[in-house]
Amino acid sequence: MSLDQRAQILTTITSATYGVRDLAQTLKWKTANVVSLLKKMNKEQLIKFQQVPHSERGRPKKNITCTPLGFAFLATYNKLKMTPLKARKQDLERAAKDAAYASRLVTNGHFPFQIFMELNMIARNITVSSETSETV
Amino acid sequence: MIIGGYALPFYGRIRTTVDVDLAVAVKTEKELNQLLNSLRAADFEPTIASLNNPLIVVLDRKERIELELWLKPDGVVFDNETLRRRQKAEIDANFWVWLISAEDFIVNKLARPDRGAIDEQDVKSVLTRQETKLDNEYLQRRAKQAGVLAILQAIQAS
Repeated sequence: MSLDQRAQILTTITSATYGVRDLAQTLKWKTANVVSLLKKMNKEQLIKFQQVPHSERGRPKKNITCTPLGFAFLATYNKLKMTPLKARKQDLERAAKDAAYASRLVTNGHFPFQIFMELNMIARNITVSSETSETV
Repeated sequence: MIIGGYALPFYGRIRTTVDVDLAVAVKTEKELNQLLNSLRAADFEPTIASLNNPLIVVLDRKERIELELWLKPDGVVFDNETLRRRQKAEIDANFWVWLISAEDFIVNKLARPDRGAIDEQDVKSVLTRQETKLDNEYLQRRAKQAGVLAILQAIQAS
């Protein structure tokens, strides 16, 4: 689920009262997709469902309301819309792979901090030796 | 407590870094002077230091490395919760240090005014490696306080 989809839902539900079906109709998205997105957003505490005391027959209707965290998200989203992520998608994917590698090292009994110190030492020695050769 | 690149191998990916970043809870001139005197006595060379400056750069004359002492780390609030959540880690035989919590590490990285691609990659690596261990409620609350909630969500979603 993208950031834009979250913002689109929050923008819509803060403009008027919406149930799941109304929201799907307004956004012109499939109801199943909207339900799935709303479940995720509810878990993230961006929205909550409020049961409407029903006078009609059938399943009780639930309205979607924006939580204070949802409002904060929306405000920050709008503020930062002009300052996108600095990292490219592939940079972030690479970072996730590196993290998975570090996890595997731990699983296999290695100590990442020790590896980090060794790596740092190698990098520092390269810098020092290149500075020395420049001086010579 | 350790913040920045030296805390990263405990929570996320392993990468090289030049600086050692430390967060120091100094609130008064007296405490600041005590800190500066201790540093000088241990052969460290602090640069201009003031309570108004969030950062003191300290040169380690012996090891020839630079330490950054943060009196006001970006996005990090020095309150009881932050201190309670810090982690104790053994980095060498019988040498223990305090580490910033993974959640505060993330917020600190994102709240840097000069945040770059490397900081965002560091955050992504922590989110990946600590996926099941993070306190999401606390992380979101702190990210919201620091004004970086949307950027956090963007990295989580990508």
